[in-house]
Formats: sequence, C-alpha cells, structure tokens
Amino acid sequence: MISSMMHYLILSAMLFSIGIYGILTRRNAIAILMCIELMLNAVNLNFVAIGAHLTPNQITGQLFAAFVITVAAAEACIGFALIIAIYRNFEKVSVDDINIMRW
Amino acid sequence: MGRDVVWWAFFYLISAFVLFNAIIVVTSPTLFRCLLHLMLVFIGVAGLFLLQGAIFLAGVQVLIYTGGVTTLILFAVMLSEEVVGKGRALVSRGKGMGIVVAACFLVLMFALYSSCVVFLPPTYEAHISPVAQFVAKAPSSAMGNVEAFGVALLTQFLVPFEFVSVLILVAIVGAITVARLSGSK
Amino acid sequence: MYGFSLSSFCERFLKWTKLPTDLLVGVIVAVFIFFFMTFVVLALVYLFRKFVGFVQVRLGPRYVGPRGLLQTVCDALKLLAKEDIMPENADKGVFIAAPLIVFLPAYLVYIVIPFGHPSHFQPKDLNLGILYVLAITSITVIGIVSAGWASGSKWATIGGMRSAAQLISYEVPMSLSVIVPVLVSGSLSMKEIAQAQGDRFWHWNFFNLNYFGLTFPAFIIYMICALAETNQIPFDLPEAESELVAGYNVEYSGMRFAFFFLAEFSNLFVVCAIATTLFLGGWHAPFPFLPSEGLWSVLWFMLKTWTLTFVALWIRATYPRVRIDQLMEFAWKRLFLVALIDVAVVSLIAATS
Repeated sequence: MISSMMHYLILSAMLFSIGIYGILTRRNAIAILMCIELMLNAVNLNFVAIGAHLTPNQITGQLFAAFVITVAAAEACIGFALIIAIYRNFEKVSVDDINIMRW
Repeated sequence: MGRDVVWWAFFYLISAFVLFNAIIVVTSPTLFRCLLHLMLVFIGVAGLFLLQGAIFLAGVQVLIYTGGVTTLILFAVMLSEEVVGKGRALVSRGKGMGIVVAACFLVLMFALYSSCVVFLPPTYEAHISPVAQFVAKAPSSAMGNVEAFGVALLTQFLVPFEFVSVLILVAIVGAITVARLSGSK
Repeated sequence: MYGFSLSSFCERFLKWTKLPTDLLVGVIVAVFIFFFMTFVVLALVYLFRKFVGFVQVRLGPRYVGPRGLLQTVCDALKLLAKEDIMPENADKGVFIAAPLIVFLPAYLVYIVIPFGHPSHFQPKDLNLGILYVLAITSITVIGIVSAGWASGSKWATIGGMRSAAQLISYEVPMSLSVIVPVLVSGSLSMKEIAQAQGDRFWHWNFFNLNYFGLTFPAFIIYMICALAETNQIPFDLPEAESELVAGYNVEYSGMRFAFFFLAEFSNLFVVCAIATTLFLGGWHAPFPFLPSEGLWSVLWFMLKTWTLTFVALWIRATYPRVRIDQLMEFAWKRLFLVALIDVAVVSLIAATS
C-alpha cells in the first residue's frame, strides 16, 4: 500500500510533467508563463506533503511553500510586465517571432 | 498515517480535477479558456493543501494565486490581445517531442521515488542545541496553524521573510518601470 | 432553546437513519444558507426600492401584494421567464460560467459569519475566518471580467476591465483596514474577533477607547472599500446605465442576469455583516446589562447589520457617481496611505500594551 505521501509525490510529478509539456509546446509567451505557474504549484504540493509526513513536528514544509508562492507571484508580476512591454514594441507575443537577436 | 475512505475519495476526486484542468491548460487553443482552467487548478491545489492539514496555506493559495496571479494574467491577456475577440489561436509545435520529454521526466521521478532513501533533517533537541527554541514548531492544540506560521516567520525564518519583502518591493518597482508607457515620467 | 441547533438536529436525525452524518449535515446547512440568502435578497431589494422612493418623494412598489411586499418575488419570476439570449460573438463556455463565478463567493461567505453567540449560529468557525473572506471575495473580480470578456461586445469588455481595476484597487485598503481588528483581537477567526470586543460599545472596534479611538479610520476605510467592492454607488461606474450601457452585464438576460443581481445584493448584506462582526461588536449588546445570549444575540447582530445596510442604501440614494480616474486616485493615494498609517499606529499601541 503506497502511503499518502507517495500519492502526493506522484501527483505532483504528473502535474510538473504536464507543465513541462506545456512549456515546450506552447508558442504564446503568456501561455508559457501559465505553465510555469503549474510547475510551481506542483513544487508546493511536494513541499507540503513531505513536510507533513517526514517532519511532522515542524511547520517548515508549509512555510517554504508560502515562500514559493510569494516568489512565484513576484516573478509572474515581472514576467507579465515584460510581456506587455514586448507586445507594445513588437505587436506580437508569439515566442517564435520575437527573434531580432538571432542572425 | 491512516486515512479513511472519505479522505481518499476527496483526494482522488480533487487530483483528477486538478490533472484534468492542467491538461486543458496546456492544450487549449483559446488563451482565455486556458486562464480559467488555470484558476480551477489553483483552487484544486488549495483543496489538496486542505487535505494535508495546511489550512493557512490553502487560504494563502486562494488569496494570492486565484485572487492575485489570475487577475494579473487576465490583465496581461487583455492588454496583449485585440479588445473584442476570442484570443489568438495558439498553434502548438513539436507535440511529439514535448510528450517524450514529459514522459522521460515522469519515468525519472518514478525511478527516484521507488529507490529513494530518506534523509531526515536533524532534530533540534532542547537539551543539546541552543537553537531549539527558535526552530519552527508544528501546529498543536495550544498553537493553531496560523500562530505556528507567525512564530516560525519571526524566529527561524526571519531572514528569508525580510529578504522576501525586499524582493516584492523590487518586483513592484521593476514591473512598473518595465510596463510603463514610454514618454511619461 | 440553547440546546437546539440546526446541525445537532440534523445529526440526530441522520444517526437515526444511519446515513453518513458529516457530509449530509454540510449539504443541509448549504441548502439552508441558500434559502436564507434568497430571503435576505428579497427583503433587501424591497427595502431598497421603498426607501429610495421615500428619499425621492415618491412611493415605491404598492400594488403587488399588501404594500408591495411581493414585488421582488414577481421580479424574480419575470426574470426566470425571460428568453435566454446568447450573443453571436460570445464565448459560450465562459459566458455560461461567469455568473456562477460571481455568485459562488457571495454564497460561500455566509459560512463564517457569526450570526449569534452560541456557536451553532455560525455554520463553521474557521481558524482563518477573515482570510477566507478576503480570499473568496477576490474571486469575484475574475467572474466580472470574464462576464465582460465573454459577452463579445466592446461596452461589456471595457466595463469589465474598469470594474476589475476598481475592485483590485479597493481590495488593498480593505485588506489593510481588516488587519486592524485582527491586531486588536489577536486572531483571524471571526468568532474570536467578535468575542474580543466585549459588551461595552466604547470597546467596540469602530471606536475603541483602549486604542484611544484610533481604530476609527479603519472602520471608515472598510465601509468605503466595501461599497466599492460591491459596486455600489458612488462606485458603480462599471454597471451604471448612463455611463456604459450597464457595463459588464449588458448582454445577460433572464436567469443569468438574476444571478448577477442576486450576487450583488447578497454581497451588500454580507459586507455589512462582516463590518458588524469586525467593527461593531458582532452579536454583543451595547451595554453589559442588556442580554446578549441566544436569540438576543441574533437580534443585536441583525439590528446592526441592517443599520449598516440602511446607511449604504441611503448613500446610494443620495450621492452622485465617481469618475474612474477619481476613483483610482482616491484608492491609491488617499485610502491606502491612511490605512497604512492606521495599521502602523494600532500595531504600535498593541505592541506596547
């Protein structure tokens, strides 16, 4: 019988791999950032599950997940600001077409 | 830990909900539908936090992710699309390679989990270590979940707490500077 | 009377029928809250129309039922019977889902409101009561913007975006002003915050003599932000009929519009109920010698909540509308500053006493 912690770890691995698939496949920069948020949620699930099972007398797991949430919000904020700035200059948000730094 | 049938029923229900919505997020051609299903993923993950007893974290997840990040993505979607329309079609490329890489990652994680050796972090015994009084405690009947967070943030995790506040300030200033219309002061 | 409660009655009944108790008690309480919410909205709409008529020197509804009491019921039936129009440009899934996303927060907040003293008057006392309220009400923004976006019309989309800007701008001073009662009572739980205010009205959080009355700005800021969060006048630019052809819900008709309408009035009641709990002492009587147990606590709670609702309706009947740039400037330059200073001062006093 797999313990409930392993269930959480398997679920978060699946969510993370769905996020990886999204990042590799999507062409729109906003959609890529959305898939990054998926991956960060998977990481939070990992933190909470491991923290609840392996360190039951400390709240460190949940606290670290709170820090991850905060940093993810800050990173999403700057990421989307960059996308808005890019859209203003290039009129498109497709990552295939923003390539003026290539030769 | 023993869990009863209701717990497992809720767990399978919510995890199926989360995975279903996540798959729609990565495959939907319309950006707005993608966003709404992402919001449902966030709510599902908050439910999973509740099942593990992380009550305050579930509240923070709903408040920041569904309340804040989703609104942020909403504004980004609206400011970068035409005003009336269904959103640009997102043609995916390289689906096969994407599935292969995701599957490889999954196989790697399963291999890791089936052979993992657990290294527990050191326990801070009160009579041995002088830092024991500052280590983050767990919620108990005397100290609820929220109080445990508060105590931990101000004793063991004080430095990350201050750093994160500086980080948020930097993010706010940076986002305003980057997204500002050029020509205005 | 004290031994009776809906939950304990449900539990005894379900034990007798040998069904699983926890889940079914939740279902019964959920249905009960739904009917309570509908009744509150009916009463509120009738009160609104009669009172606004009185302010405008006219009589309100008069003909339907005795003194027009059944007017709202007939309005609801009319809305249900209307044709369900879906615009051609609309994004169908989102169009159907948006009223639900707006309705759910207005419904889910009733769980943590302490209507009275023995704890069976509060459906569930969560440890993080006020955080739950803030989190749930921030989902309304997404519903409103989705409604505007999915309608496929320019007016609706612009109305939705203005509404989103207004809602998120006023969420910040509201969260800051909510921190003040939390600081004063030391807990996020709604029951604890109401309990800590005590039986004397000069210790209630709206003007707390223990804090030299410095929690008063928090109360004022909370009421202003509450009016803005529920799209009430003077902040109803997103749904004003003369500004944007009714804004984000212009393309909605029939049952879907009824959801928006229900959610708006229910939100008004809920926000006044939360203000009562946080700032006006919840279920407590103003003086210690007055009774405040059992049904008396429900009476005091309802009295205070309906007084605040009455004041909100009064403001609605009196003031003109605020422009969008005035609105944003007010939130970010004035309210946010005052709320921040108030939190700093109250936390200073709380830490040194």
